[in-house]
Amino acid sequence: MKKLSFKKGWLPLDGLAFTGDRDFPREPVLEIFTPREIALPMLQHSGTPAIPTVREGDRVTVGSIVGKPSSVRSAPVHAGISGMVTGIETVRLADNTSCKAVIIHNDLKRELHSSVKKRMYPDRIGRDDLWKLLDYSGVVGMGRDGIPTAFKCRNAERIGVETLLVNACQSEPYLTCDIHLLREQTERVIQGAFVLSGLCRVKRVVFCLLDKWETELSALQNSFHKYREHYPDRDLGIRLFRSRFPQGFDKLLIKALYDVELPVEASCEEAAGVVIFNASTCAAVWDMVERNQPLTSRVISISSDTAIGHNVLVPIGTRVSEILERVPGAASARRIIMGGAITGTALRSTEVSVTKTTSGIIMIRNFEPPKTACIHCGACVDACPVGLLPYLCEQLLRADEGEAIKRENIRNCISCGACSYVCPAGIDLSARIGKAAERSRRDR
Amino acid sequence: MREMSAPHIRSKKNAPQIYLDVVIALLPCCVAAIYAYGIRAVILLLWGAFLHALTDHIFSRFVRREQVYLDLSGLISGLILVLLLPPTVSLWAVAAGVLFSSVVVKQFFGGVGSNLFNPALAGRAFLAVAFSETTNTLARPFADRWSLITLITGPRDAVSAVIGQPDWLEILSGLFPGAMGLTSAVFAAAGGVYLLYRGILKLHAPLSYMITLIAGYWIFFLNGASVSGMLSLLFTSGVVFCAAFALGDFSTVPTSGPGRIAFGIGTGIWTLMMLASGQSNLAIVFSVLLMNGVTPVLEFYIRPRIFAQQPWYFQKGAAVNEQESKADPTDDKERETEVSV
Repeated sequence: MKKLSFKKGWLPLDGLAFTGDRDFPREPVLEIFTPREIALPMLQHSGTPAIPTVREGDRVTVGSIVGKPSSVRSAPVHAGISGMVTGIETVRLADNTSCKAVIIHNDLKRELHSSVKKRMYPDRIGRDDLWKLLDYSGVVGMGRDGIPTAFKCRNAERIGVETLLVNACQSEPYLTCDIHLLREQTERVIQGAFVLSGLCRVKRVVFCLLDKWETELSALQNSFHKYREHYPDRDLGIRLFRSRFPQGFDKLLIKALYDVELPVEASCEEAAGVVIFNASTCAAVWDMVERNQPLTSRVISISSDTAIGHNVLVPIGTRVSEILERVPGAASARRIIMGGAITGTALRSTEVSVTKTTSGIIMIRNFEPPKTACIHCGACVDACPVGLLPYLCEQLLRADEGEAIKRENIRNCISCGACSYVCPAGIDLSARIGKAAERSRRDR
Repeated sequence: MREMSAPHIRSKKNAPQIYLDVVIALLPCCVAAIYAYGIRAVILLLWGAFLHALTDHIFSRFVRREQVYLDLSGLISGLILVLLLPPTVSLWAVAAGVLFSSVVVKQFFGGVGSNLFNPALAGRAFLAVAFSETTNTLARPFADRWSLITLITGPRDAVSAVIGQPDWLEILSGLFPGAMGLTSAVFAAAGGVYLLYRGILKLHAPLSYMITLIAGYWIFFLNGASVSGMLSLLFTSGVVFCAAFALGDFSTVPTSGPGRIAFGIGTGIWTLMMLASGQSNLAIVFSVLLMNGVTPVLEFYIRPRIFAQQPWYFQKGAAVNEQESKADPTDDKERETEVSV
């Protein structure tokens, strides 16, 4: 199969041992984590925060609603464990914003809510009911963006897109949770993608995979035969991409697929007629359709640069500190990162909850960037996928040259971190440029 | 946990290691120079390299530049400078060249990485102007290689210029009278291949330079052009050495691929023009220096295309629109003031 790619970026080949990138997620059995207490933040998506619907002393079960959406661009929040609500507090999220959170104490019974039960004929649900289910499920984009899936679907249907992409390109090192889902629960992902494609009125579904995941590719291809009979009107496809770093970004995905370059502000739905969903999102949608179970837990990769990683099923709202108690050697980590090792956020405090958009917790021990002056080697220019001159931008920003920066088109930066990764002088290029880019996009 | 900004892992490549690789790439040329000129080459190379590194270090300390680390770039500049000189050169001339290249060319411009001109080549050009004997007096290889007395008296059978046409074995091995390292094309090429393998040398500039030279040779020297003449131009005048270590010097060439290609072509044209006008000594050194001065301009205008945007040379209309949109609010303000008045 032809391997697609974009230009530049970097290939993860240069000496960093990504702890057996091929081997560690092969464990067939998923660990299920049982926390003592969870704190469910009301703002786990991009949009307005949900409103708590429970009070202190209420009893909740797995799948019962604890926060209702406050606007169109919002999502409900459901409890992932059964137990007692012990309070509603204001907590800080990983990116240092604060919001209300429902604290639930676990009674370890794992009692399901009465509405959560298997449907006899999940493929006979009408369209209106499917919309209601999707609204209730609280599914949001589980890769990075966190846009409520119902909102994205309505938007896509209104615009009239042609293709649905299932994004399973986890190009960041150490993250394998989407791949794990695709291998172990292929059916869930495919069925979820079909439900979403029905809602968006899309005929063509394309799965995007990196070329290093060969078993996942064959798992997909094997199950395709069955679904071609079930859904004869849908057009199924798989596209392979070279495992080059920022491949998972939506604009670069479209560039590699169709050779179309979209500007930063353009939405993929309007400009390219493509709607992109994460593989985990699809699986969560199918849970709702099949068993009426809202999004209450997700698979996260717990990994580190010196140890072998695992994929674990964690109830949403679990505190990072409680997970790290059971990870050997976590106390000695220099940095604890939520999300990927390249675009994620380093945590200031480990009392932060796992949210719907958290794809992994990564501990970094060996982080010693060499600190020298810029040697003008041009590695960052060769790596930047949007064609900036990062070293020049950084120098201009440090010198605060307002006029000159405007000419550098700095607002096109996607904060992928490729320039900082390759820099042999250890300069924090992407942190500074990304901030400036965000500022200039906001000002415009 | 002092700073926690986004990429939490870094590539293993770092600057001292890159410079170490360049030193390793220079070793074949150094060994060839020592093989040909013996103890004199050893002393000159050590003197030049360590004096350069020491001057860099002392100056950085002196101006309290923040990152004073074991800076191997000084060793590289010193080695290249000595390899560009003939073995008859005195230690004082080397010291003067090193001081110029280290302090004036490198440190005054902001230290390693910020220098506009290649320090070694600028030092060589300085010596050609200030110490003219460094360009004229050459020595035969293998003459009195290991006798210490020549250190004081200078080589006994110093020759004033290249005599006749050397044969092909001498051309390829570089063992004919000339600069110490500049002449050994095969060893310089070996160093270049090592740099390529380590991903430090990008082929754009050296390759476009060579192609320009070969193509231009047949245009500029139409009357006396011959294949052997072309090959001797490529192998005797240090084209390969400069292509590997001066055009491959990332600090003083543009960072983007097209910029590097333009740099190589420009250098080639300058070299050809100097050779055609009879200025055969140091034509390459001066042409590289001339283009080094243009590097910021090349860097500014020949840059990678921004994702989802037209190349800059199609963007004139956009710039005009921007100006118009900037002009509009001021007009409005003026109108407002008129109204208010």
